[in-house]
Amino acid sequence: MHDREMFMSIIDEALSSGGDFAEIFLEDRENNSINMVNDKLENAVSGRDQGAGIRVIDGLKSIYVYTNDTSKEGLAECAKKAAGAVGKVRIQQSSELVEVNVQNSHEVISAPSSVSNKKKVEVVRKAYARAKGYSGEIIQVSVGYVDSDQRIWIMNSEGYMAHDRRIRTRLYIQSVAGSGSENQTGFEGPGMSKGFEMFEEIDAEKHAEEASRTAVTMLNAKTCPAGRMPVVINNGFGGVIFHEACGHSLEATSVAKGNSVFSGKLGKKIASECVTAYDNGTIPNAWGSINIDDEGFKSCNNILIENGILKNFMIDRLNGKRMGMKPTGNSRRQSYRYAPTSRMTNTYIASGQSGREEIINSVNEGLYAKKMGGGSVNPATGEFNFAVAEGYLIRNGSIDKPVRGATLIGKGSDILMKIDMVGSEVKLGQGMCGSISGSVPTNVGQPILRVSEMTVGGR
Amino acid sequence: MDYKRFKYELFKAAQKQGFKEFELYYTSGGSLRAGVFKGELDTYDSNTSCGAGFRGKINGKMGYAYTEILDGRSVDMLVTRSKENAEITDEGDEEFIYMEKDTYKTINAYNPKLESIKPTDVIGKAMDMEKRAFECDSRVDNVRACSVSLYKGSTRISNSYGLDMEYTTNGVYGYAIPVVRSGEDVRTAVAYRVGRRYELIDPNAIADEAVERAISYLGAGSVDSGSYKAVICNEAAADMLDVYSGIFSAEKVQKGLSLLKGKLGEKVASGIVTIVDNPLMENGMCGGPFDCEGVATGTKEVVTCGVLNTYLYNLKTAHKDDVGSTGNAARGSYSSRVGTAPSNFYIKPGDIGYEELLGYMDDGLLITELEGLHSGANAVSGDFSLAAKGFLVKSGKMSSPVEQITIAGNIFELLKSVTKVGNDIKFGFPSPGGCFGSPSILIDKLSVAGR
Repeated sequence: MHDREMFMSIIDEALSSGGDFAEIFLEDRENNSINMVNDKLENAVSGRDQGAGIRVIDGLKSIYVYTNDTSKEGLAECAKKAAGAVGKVRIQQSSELVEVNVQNSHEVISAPSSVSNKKKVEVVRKAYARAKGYSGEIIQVSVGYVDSDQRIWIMNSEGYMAHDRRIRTRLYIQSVAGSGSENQTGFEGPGMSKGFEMFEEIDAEKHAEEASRTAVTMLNAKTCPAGRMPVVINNGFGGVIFHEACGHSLEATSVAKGNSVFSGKLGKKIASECVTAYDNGTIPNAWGSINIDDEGFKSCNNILIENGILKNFMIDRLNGKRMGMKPTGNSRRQSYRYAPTSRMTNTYIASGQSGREEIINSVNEGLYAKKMGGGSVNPATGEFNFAVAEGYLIRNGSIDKPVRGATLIGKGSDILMKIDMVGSEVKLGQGMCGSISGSVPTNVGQPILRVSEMTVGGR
Repeated sequence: MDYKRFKYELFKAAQKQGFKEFELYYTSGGSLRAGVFKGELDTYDSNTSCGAGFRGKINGKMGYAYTEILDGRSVDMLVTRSKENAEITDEGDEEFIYMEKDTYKTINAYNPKLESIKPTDVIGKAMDMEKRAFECDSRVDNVRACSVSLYKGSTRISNSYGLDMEYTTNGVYGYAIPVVRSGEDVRTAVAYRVGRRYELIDPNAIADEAVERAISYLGAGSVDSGSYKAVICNEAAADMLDVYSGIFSAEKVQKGLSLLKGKLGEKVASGIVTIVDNPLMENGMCGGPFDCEGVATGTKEVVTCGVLNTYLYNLKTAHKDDVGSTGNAARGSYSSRVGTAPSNFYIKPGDIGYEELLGYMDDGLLITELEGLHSGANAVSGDFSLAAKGFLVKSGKMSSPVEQITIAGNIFELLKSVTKVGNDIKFGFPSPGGCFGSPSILIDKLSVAGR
């Protein structure tokens, strides 16, 4: 079915009524999920997503048409629809398609389809048992296992043709601790761009125990006092602060149209000098890694901020055109149902000079956010908010009692300036990031760091 | 192959594999969206898509699989994979394939007039909306998003007991998000309309409303931390209801994930709060005559004058509690398993106007926007700590705009502290998880973190 001649004729059809660029994104993806809750392996769902999206770019205009019908007729119909929406006269011919060999940097040993359900179930049951057995206060545990095997083909009017395969595996553990009148939760979700061999590297049971430990700790925590105070944010998923508060505002999606607080700030100081940050899609087997992005550009290690100075944005083809800048290998989409746009991969603040103890000892009265929950941001204003999943008060330079219900709010541009101590050990945490091109796997990350002052919402 | 042929082949193969009971859930549809930026068409998306979810029972256990192509290979894949999936699951609460013959209501959720709307017309409307946004105030610096969309979707369920039902719905929506600037002060706001009448998408009205809102936030500052009387405006209250709707799910209750467990017949909210689930609502954007297991739906008050009447059930959870399904079986999509969800779910409006509500409050906070609901609101504990925007209200009149505050509390306490319910009900965007509506509500005590 993946016939070069056919694709060329489809691309040609897409450009028949104008437009300077056309692209086909074809996807065939298998998904499996297994879920255990209430001591029962409750359900397993398998399925196959298959479809194609055709995009025509006419100047700065983007036309996107998708379908499940990937037959020649189905694709031709899509191309015709896209051309109809351009509605001008042909200005561009398509080029001969030449297949590019994609170098795979994320070796997979056990693809999901080669592993029996029994083995997958075993991991789930073990994690479940460990989380449930952690304490009598754990009243509910939910463990989910998901894997996906995505095959993509990208063809465009510049003659580019490539195929890639992306395999990912993830385990989710949610523990609920309850006292009858109150519930608190803990969550862990390790994932990698790997097959089942991920579990040789990741100790599922240890993560399960960790989820339960957080839930029990929070159940026995007092509510967090509100106010402005210094905040120490732990490494790993703590990096969600950078992801939400700054990362989204560095995506060309918001920068290109002048909607970001960082628009026009290249080369300017946007963060304190101790902040250096990267978006690196090339980390072998990392959750947010890709060989090529969903437009076919090679993934890169991009420096975003160097010692506080804004160095680059994350840029896709269309927004790059608007900005007069080169794409950075960041164009991503959830599936063929979405036109691609600039998104993060593995985005993190690089290691600094301070030690963990040194940072905590430096705070007289403040908050230690050991684990962060999710959050969101308004890219136009940079205003963000996110939940602290496990927090502690810091008193006289040491970690004191656990507190719950804390939220951190602020503006991305302010907080970047207020990061005044950065630790030395970077850790990454996995998440699914939702934006206009759907939900994509991303890593967030940072070393432990201190923000001199933040608004903490509590009770 | 077409649906009829696919169903025939699939059901034949399922029987051969040893499935005793089975069901095919099929959705198909399409949408068209035009987005404009600075006077030009910026994005134009158009699609047609479909998907089929199969579930079948072997030895009392249900297995699931889905596909997006109706072909011979999919027939084999669906029956083989769902059989494997049934085999690995534990025996637990039994899922059912619906065997009753219900009588279904007819509701009008499809407007044929939307079919004849031309793409150029949709584009034109989005263009007009953006133009108006730029023109209506000199402080409009940009329009971050401005789009108009049409959509249509059909759901069909067929099962081995001879059920074969189809339901089609469509709709239109439009929204604008202007960015306004006054010196270094930058603000945005959104205004939207969603419905089934094309005329509802009035470009001028949407643009004016969005710009007016964004401008009203200029100069916003924080307030002192403390406890405030507060009016939570309709859109924000509907967002809260959306995030916490899971507490009414029988599945969550049975799993100990809802604190409403064991509270049937008890007072869970203030006596003036009534919460309704109405799948048959006229102009409702969710719901329909049958749920995703084929059970006939009906309107019910989930909470009447503060008292909890029922949870939302599908066949599995209803069987467990020895009650009937409330017709709330739902699937996020053909790729997800059957769970429960509300349809058109709302706090029943009272008879107090919005201004009057502010008058009752006298001095306090008006909360107009909540952010971070997916992270700052915990459906299991009921706790919330959310970034909010709004206005200080003095002597019943809106005064200065407020930002950089968080409101915190617990939904179960909040529901009990409602002292007045307004008449200005508004619904948000429909999703597979329901369509949520609320009037503005007055709360006698809300904890606010600011300065």
